[in-house]
Amino acid sequence: MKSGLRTLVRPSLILTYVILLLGTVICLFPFYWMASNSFKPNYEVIKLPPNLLPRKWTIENYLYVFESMDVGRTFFNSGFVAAAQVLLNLLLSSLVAYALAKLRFPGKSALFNVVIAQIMIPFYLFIVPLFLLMDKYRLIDTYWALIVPGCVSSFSIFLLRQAFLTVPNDYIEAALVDGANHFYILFKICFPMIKPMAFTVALVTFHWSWNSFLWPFLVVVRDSMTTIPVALARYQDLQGIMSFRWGAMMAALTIAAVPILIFFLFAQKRYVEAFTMSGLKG
Amino acid sequence: MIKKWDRIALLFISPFVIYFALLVAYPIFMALASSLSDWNILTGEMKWRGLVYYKKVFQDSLFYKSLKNSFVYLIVQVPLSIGIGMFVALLLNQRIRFRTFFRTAYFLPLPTSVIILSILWSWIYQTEGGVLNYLLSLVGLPAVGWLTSERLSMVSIALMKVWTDIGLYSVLFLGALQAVPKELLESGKLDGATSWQLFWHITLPLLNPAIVFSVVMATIWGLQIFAEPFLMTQGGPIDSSQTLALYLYREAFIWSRLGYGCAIGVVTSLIILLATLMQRRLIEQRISY
Repeated sequence: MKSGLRTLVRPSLILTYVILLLGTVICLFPFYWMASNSFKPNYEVIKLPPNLLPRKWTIENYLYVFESMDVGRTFFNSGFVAAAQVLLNLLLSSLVAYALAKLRFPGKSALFNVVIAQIMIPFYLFIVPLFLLMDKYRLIDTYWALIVPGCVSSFSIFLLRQAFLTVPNDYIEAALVDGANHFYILFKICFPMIKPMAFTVALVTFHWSWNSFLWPFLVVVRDSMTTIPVALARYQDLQGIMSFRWGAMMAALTIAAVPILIFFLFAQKRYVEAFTMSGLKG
Repeated sequence: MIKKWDRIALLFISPFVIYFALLVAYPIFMALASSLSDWNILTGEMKWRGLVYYKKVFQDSLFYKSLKNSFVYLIVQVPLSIGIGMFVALLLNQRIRFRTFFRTAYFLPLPTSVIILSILWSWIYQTEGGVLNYLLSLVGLPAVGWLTSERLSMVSIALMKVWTDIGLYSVLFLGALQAVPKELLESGKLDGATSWQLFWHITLPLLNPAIVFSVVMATIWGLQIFAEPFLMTQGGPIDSSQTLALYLYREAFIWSRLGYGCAIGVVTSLIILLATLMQRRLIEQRISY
C-alpha cells in the first residue's frame, strides 16, 4: 500500500500533470477568450484593461452578426460544397484506387507515378492559369468553380489503394466467377470491407473542403456564394472599414467554430486516427 | 481464356485522367508558357518574352524578402512544433490518467479553421487592446508589438502555428512512441542505461521516420502559408511578413501581372521541391545508424 501511494504521487508524475495542465490552459484559453468576448457588450470588449470574465452578458453581438451576414446561406454553401467534394472524391478516387490495386492495364505504373507526383505538386504552380481557365469559361462565382477543383485527390487515391490492396483476391475471383462485373465488386464487396479507410478519406476531405480558403477566396464574387472562411475574411475586412466591432467579430468566429467543434468532439477518435494515419502513411 | 488486361479499367481511370489532364496538367503547361510569354488567355494572343519574367523575379527585392521571411518562419515554427510535440508526447506516454482529455484539449485548434484562428489571434496579439500584452503586464513585462513590429511579425505568426500544431505532432509522436517495442527498452534498462540514454539511443532512432516526415511536411506547408499572414498582417509591416504565396497573390491577382505571377509560381514550386529534397537527405544522414 505504501509503495502504491508513492508511485501515485511520484514527483515527476506530479510535474507531468502540472505541465500538461498548463499546456491545456494555453491551448484552451484563446477559445474561451473568443467565446466570452462574443457575449460582452461592445464597450466592454474594447475596454482597457480587458475583463477576463464578462461583467455584463449580452447576445447583442450575435444578433448583429445574424443581421449583417447571411449566416444560413454561408453555412449552406460550405456544407453543399463539402458534401459534394466528399462524395465525388470517394467515388472517383475509389475507381482509380481500385483499378490501381486490383485491375491490370497498360500504363498502370505510369499512372501510379502520376498520382504520387501530383501529391507533391504545389498548388501555386498552376493556381493562376486554373483561375484564368475558370474565368474564360464563365465558371467564376459558381458552385462548379468551388467544387470541381479538388473533387479528386491524389492523396485519397493513394490511401484507398493501400486499403484495397489488403482485400484478398479470392473474394474478387469468386465474384468474377459468379459473373459480377468490377463495378459491383468495387462497391458491393470491396468498399464495405475498407470502411475505416473510407471514413478517414471522407473526414480528411471534409475537413479540407470546409476550411479551404485561398481558392474559394479567389473564385467567389457575390456574397451569396461565400463559404464560411471567405465570409469571415470579408467580415473582418468590413469591420475594419466600419471601425472594428471585435465583439461582433468574435461572435461570427464562434458561430463558425461551434459546429465543427461539436462534430469534432463526437468524431474525436476518428479525427485523431485520420490525421495520424494520413500522416504516418506518408 | 486469359484476358490480357481488364478493359473496364479504362472506365475506372478515365474520370481521374480527364481531371488531371484538364485541371492540373494543362494549367501547369499554361503556367510555364505564361511565365515565358505574354499570353492573353481570353483572346489567345501570345507574345514570346523568354526568361524576362524569371530574371525579374530574381532581381526583385520583395522576392528575396519573402524568402527570408519564409526562412524565419520555418526556423521558428518547425523545431518548436516538433520539439514541443515530442515533449508532450513523451509526457502523455507515461502511465497517466485523463490522457484522452489532454489529447482532446491539445488537439482542439486543429479542426478549427485556420481563418478563425488567424482572426482570433490577430486580436489576441493586438499591441494595445490584446489580451496577451495584458497578461504580460500582469507579471510586469512590457507590451510587445507582436504584429506591429518588423522583427516580430513573422515570429508571432510562427508561434501561433506552433500553438495550433502541438496537438498534431504530439498525437503523431505518441503513436510512434507506443509502437516502440517494450523489450528493447527493458533490455536497455537491464544493461543499466539511464532514461536519457534509452531515449537518445533506442527511442529516437526508431522515431526517425516520423520525425523526418514531420520536418519535411512542416517545411512544405510552411513555405506555402497564405491565410495567416494575409488575415493577420496583410504581409506587413513593411513586408516583414510577406510570404511567397502572398507575393504571388499580390502580383497575379491584385496587380494582374499574370506572366510574372506564373513565373513566381514556378520558382516557388522549385524552391519547395529543393527544400524537400535537401531536408530528407540532411536529416536521414544525421540520424541514421
